Amino acid sequence: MLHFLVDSWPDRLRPGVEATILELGLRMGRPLVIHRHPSSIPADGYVIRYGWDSGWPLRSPSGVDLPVVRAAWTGQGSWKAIRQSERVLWAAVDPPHVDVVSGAHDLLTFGHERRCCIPERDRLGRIMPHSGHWFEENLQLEPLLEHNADYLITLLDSRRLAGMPRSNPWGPGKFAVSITHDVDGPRLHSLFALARSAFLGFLRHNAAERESFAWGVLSRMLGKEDPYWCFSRWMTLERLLSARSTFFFYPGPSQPFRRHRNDPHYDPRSARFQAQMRTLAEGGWEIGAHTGIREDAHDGYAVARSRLEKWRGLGQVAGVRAHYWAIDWAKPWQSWRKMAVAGFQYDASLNPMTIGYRGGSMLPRIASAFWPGFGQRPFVAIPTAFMDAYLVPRAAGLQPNEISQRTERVLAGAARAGGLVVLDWHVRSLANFATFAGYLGPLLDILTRMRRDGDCRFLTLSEVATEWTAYAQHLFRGFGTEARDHGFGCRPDCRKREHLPAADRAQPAATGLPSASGTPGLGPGTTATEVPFA
Amino acid sequence: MVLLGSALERLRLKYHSLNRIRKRHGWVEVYHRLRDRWLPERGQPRPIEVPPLVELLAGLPTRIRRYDRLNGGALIVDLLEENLDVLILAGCGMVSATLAATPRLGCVNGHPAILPGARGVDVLEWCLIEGRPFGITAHLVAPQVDAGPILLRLPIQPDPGESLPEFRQRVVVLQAEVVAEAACRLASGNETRIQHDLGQSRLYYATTHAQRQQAIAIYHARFGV
Repeated sequence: MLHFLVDSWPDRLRPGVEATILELGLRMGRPLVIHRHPSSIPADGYVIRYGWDSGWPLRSPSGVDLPVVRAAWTGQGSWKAIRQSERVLWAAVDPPHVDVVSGAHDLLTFGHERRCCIPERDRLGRIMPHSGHWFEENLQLEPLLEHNADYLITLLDSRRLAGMPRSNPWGPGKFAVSITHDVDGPRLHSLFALARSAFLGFLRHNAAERESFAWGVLSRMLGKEDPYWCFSRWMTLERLLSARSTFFFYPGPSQPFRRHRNDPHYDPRSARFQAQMRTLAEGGWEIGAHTGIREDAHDGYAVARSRLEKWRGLGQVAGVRAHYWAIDWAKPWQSWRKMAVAGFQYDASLNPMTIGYRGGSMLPRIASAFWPGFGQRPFVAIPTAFMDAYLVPRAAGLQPNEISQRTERVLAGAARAGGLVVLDWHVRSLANFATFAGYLGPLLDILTRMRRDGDCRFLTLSEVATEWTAYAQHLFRGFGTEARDHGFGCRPDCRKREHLPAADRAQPAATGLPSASGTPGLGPGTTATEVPFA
Repeated sequence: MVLLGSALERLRLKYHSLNRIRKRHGWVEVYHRLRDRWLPERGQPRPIEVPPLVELLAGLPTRIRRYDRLNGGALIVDLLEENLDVLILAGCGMVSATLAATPRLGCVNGHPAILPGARGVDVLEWCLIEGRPFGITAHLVAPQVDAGPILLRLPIQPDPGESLPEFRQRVVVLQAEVVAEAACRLASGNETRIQHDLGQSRLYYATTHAQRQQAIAIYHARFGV
């Protein structure tokens, strides 16, 4: 058991620190307990101290003190990428101190995006992967949070660690792969798709769209199957892999006037879509919600989920992915909160608009770790590393060798370290011709490599969320002395108040992580209304 | 199993072939190409017609499946589902690297010329024009045109009194035999692979009407037919 001592932190910072410690601890793969006061640490406990000040002596002589760069927590620090032999750390630096916990917090609160990416965002608030030294250094390819956790492991006493074998969330020596499909425009034979291809093909002189138009017209006239309606072929391909994937269907706008012009153009209430959803669900494939671009601003998640569950008729819809990755890019945690309140279990909208990871981690994060009331139904944010168009040179704007190198770096990192690789291939991309020529090959190359490596497990995203949550609940033993009885969002009746610091004993018990001030987790430089972790 | 392109696919293949000719040589050459195929000049022999493949396969224990789009995802997934050892290409057009990677052992193509030598299209005419030897090569499909490792080669010559269309037809038949032999050797693990030195080959494109007439004249002059 690793005992993290997070002592003497200001109340407004402590929830953020503890949530960061939790995420790092999960990636270290050993059972962990978080202590606020040294008195709750067992005499023989191995302590990792991350204290605001070092005034209190450690109860246990065994352990390590991590450096704290205070300026980083008060909004005045500087963070940088520190390249070691095979990994890159993201840390706050105040020479000679390197604070990887603060670096991890910076990643989890997307502070790096505010500083290191280009200041301009597109009309949807998204950061384009063009410039800013984050992308110039290809830091989006690095699982920085995992590297920070590995760095912490190197600081610990290897003799003590030997008695604590490292857990892998996906099984010993395994890594996880999740295939997903956004259902954006699965019909070339629709009038909208043909008109769109005609417009782009003849008025915008796009040769591929002209071919799509011609093929669509001819195949429709000859009564051929719609070449974009590729559901059955996806199912066939995944059966060959003994895999099941997740299909994200557009549930329609929560209100008619809230539909964005770039939202998918199909009516999911039609008999054909309903039948297809049922076929997928009955075969073991997962159905998720592909919410429209404006749904986050209008909090349409509950409507989306209830619609899909009613249409699908086979139970809970666990997950969501926003069309165009359109969650709140400045404050993703607010989007996650809305999704969780709507009843979703996970979100899969984290992507940096290119190959790689948004937020510096290849593994899920428990966004709801210390949200009051979410202890029994955690909400997980899952990064998506690959989308089909990002691996096609003409669509990605990259050279083939650049794409190949980036892909290899991500895959190798995931395979080496028990990671997770989420693939997003649109349903229509399996058509693999005209507009989507060359879209299928990169996916088959990745899957062939994965199978050749031999240690991957194919999971749906709801399985990823469930297994990650179970893994986290297994490792995180809670707070203080009564660790065995605690867990996420521990119930008020299981806290022994005499073990709490005096300041906390004065507050009424609450679920989750109470703070002395009563406000939920805050990061540096944020106000009470901006809540990174709650 | 035999995979046949549907009418839609054949139409697409023909369109793209003529479009390539149009881009390289212009509309007049497209006209000549179509006219040579359907309306040969007086005194010129017509191409030899062969029965449809479906008729040839009638009575044989062979599954026939139609596909609408070469290199389309539907065909690729169907091929993966078949879990093939060897895939033989027989005049289907240019396959993508993704499709060529579907069989376990490889994708075999037959080329109506000796390799290294004349790569590309209309190679029979180019061999006549350039004075290259006639022959057939079976090779594994690689990302570059007619550039994969060589499995089998068969030099050939026109028979006495054999017209150019008759010779062309015999090349097609022999090509099938060479490809079949190479595929069987590959499937049984007895193949011999010769790396294709592209420095000894040249890539040829579609001939013009004038070049085809030149080739016919050379054939008449060399073989008296």
